[in-house]
Formats: sequence, structure tokens, C-alpha cells
Amino acid sequence: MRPLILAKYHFASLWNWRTSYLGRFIEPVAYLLFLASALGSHLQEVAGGYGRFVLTGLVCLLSFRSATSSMSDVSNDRKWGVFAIYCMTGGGVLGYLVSVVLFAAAVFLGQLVLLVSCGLLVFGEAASSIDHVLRTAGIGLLLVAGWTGIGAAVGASVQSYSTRDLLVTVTALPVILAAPLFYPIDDSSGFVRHIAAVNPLTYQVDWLRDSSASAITYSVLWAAGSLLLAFFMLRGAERVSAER
Amino acid sequence: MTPLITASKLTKIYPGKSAPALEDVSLEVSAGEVIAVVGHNGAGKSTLFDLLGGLSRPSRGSVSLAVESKEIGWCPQREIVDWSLTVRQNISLGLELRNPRARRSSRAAVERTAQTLGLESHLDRTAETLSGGELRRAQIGRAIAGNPTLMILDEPTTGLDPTGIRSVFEYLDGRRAEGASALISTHETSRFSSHCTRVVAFGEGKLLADLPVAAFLALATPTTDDLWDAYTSLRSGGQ
Repeated sequence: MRPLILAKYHFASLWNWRTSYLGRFIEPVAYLLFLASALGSHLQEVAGGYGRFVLTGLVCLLSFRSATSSMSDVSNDRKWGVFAIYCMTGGGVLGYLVSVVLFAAAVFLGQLVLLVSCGLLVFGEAASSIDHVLRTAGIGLLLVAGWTGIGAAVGASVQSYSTRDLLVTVTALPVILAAPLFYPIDDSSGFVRHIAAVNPLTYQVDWLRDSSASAITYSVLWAAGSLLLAFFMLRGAERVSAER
Repeated sequence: MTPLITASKLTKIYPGKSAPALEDVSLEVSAGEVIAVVGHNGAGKSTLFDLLGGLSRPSRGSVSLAVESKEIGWCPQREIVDWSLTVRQNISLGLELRNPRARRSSRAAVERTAQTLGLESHLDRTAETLSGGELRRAQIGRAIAGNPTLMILDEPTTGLDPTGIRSVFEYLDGRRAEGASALISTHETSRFSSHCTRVVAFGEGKLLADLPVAAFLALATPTTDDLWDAYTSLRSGGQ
């Protein structure tokens, strides 16, 4: 019950500070309306159609963004004492983690509905189908759980806002742009291909486009491994971070 | 009577510090006791509160509780508040997490607490818009909402105006009459002497005295009603 109660307050926080959180919904739509629309006219030959290609890429982007969001949320919870209150009032680390994942999953589903709606408007019915959306949402939720775990693990060890912001700035764009989310990167120049080879999004977007049994297995392993890491990092973390 | 909370030989050593913040402290809190915790800055009071409240773990020793976590209200010295939530949400967050079964009645409990602390008109403001005193009252509200059996309040009156301080002390008097207990540190050492039943004094992480309030005040010459005068006498007598 406590994870649901805490998740309720995560949503209250989202609503109270909705102008700050609006970016989480605007960003993927902006990528779709501007970057993807512009690239689409040059990449019509992509297998399966560019609309479906980029929509799946954007779902992968959303899942990755849940890491930066949960890193921010968990470091706030540690700084503001919400994590401490949760643990001191009878809750455990696992329950706290469940509340964070529930919140991230619900936000992801909201983003997905918005994104697919906009995708259909921009690229037409060929961009998606109900079957495609359901398969993408299923694997996407596993990826979100995994990235939320990574974000929570980092948030459990970060002691300051400035460190957190630096981490987001340094990692976000290279990870997003050096993966085949918006364009195929097989023909890219040397260093991008090298980054792509070690970039988790390169593989995860393939799992989303593939949706085979092995893709589901990899996604489950990704979610389980990341959440396990988050659990141990949160369990070892100070309940209130040192930063005032 | 079984103590509500028992601390046995508590020692806390922070990394990088040679001297322990708290050393070999044993303490019991029974039903109906309101205990004043006095000491200089850095004497170990907040460390004791953090250990008793469960925020941090002792390096040695143990804390055992005879009450469930839902019966403990905790208000730390530092600002522990979700800045994105309203006062109502901050108070009900603490209340509902302490006692998930009480969530249906939490709205009424929050409004009663707000009335006690004069927070009615601030309930729907987010914490970020509050003044220091209002923020302090919101944190006290989170600790006392639902009337817990044991309250651990670290400097709850800091930043409060005289009316706010009186509200807190009167609330504690009422709760003590109902058998609740509290452990409190406060700079209001003169006024609080008539509201507490027992005093524990700390210096350099060590327990210097643990006495009924009358016996503690009698340590001072001439006679005083200020716990701090008695504490100063205790310190000078011990040197």
C-alpha cells in the first residue's frame, strides 16, 4: 500500500509543478514535429517506412529520458527527506523503488499516447497500428523500468544538484544522437559508429523494432539487472543527502 | 511499565571525525513523559534524535521500540519537506505513510492539526511559498498529525513566533495528559521547564544528567526556572 501512497504524492508533485514538468511531454513531440519531420523527407527508403522507424526511436528516447527524470526525482527525494520519511515510517527500499517505477511507467504511457497521436497526424496511419503500439508499449515499459533503475541508482549516489545536472548534460545528447533513433547510423563516420557500438540505445531500439522473443528476454534482463542495481545503491545510500 | 523506546549504549562516530558525536548513551522514554534534551550546539542532541527516529544507524549500541512506527512522529532540526507539495500534502504524506489504513480519514486529521498550529489558511500553499515559521509549523504538523504516541521533535520551536511556541507547548501538555510522550530539544529553555517532566543534558556527546525537571532545576543556584541556567551550573560544577 505504501508504494501506491507515495506514487500518489509523486503525481501530486507533478501536478503542482506542472509547468516545470511540461518539458517531459513537449520534448518528444518537438523532436517529432521538427527533427523527424525534416529528416523524413530524406529517409523515405528506410525499411518499414520512416514514420514507424522514428516513432519507435522516439519511444526508445522516452525510455532513456526516464533515467534522467528518475535521477532528478530520487536526488530530490533524498535532499528533501521524502526517501527518509518513507523508510522511517515503515516503508522499505523496495517499496520506494516500486513507487518511482510506477510513476515513471505512468508518465511514459501518457507520453506514448501523446506521441503516437502526433505521429499519426504527421506520418499518417502507416506510422503505427494498434498491434505495433501495444508491442512497443510492452517492451518500452520494460526499458523504462530499467532506465528508471539506472537513474535511481545514480540519484542514490549523487550528493548535489550541480553533479546531477553535469551528468545529464554530458550524457544525454551523445547517447541520443549516437544511436539509430532518428536515422540509420550504419553509414555514419567512424567515431559515431564507435559510440553507437557501446551505446545501449543502439540495441534497445532494435529490441523495440524487433519485438521477437529474444528481444523480450533481453528487455526483461535489462529491467531486472538495473532495478537490482538501484535496490542495492538505495539500500546503501544515506537517507538524506548531505546537500542542504 | 515497558518503555516506549529504549536506547542502549548508543555511540555514533561520523566518518573522518576522531571524536564520537554521541558516546555510550543509554536512555528510556516511558508513557506520559515529556523530556527536554538540553546541550550546547554540537553536544550530540540532533545525533540522538536522528538515531532514535531511525534516520541514521548507530556505530554501536541499539534502539528498541515498544511502539509501531505509525505511533512515532518525527520532526528533524533540518528542513525536511517536499517543496513541490502543499502544506496539506506534506502533512498527509507523513500521516498516510505512517499509517496507510488512516488515509481515508487523513483529510480530517490534517485539518485538525492545521487548526492546532494555526495553519488553516496555508493548507493549499506549496511549501516553497512559506515563510520560515510557517514551514516549521508544517513540519511539526507532519510529525503530530494523527496524534502519535511518541513524538521526537528536534528544535520544533525554532523560527516560531510566541503564539506558535505557545500552541506547540499547549498541544504537548494536552497530549501528555492523554499518556503520550515526547522528546524535545528547544532553545525556549525558560518557558519549556513548566511543560516537561524530565531533563536529559548532553555535553561533547556524553550524557551529563538525566533527572526529573525539579531536580534538574535545583542544580542551579540561585533557584531558577530556566533549564539553561541549570545546565550551565551542571557544566561548571563538572569542570
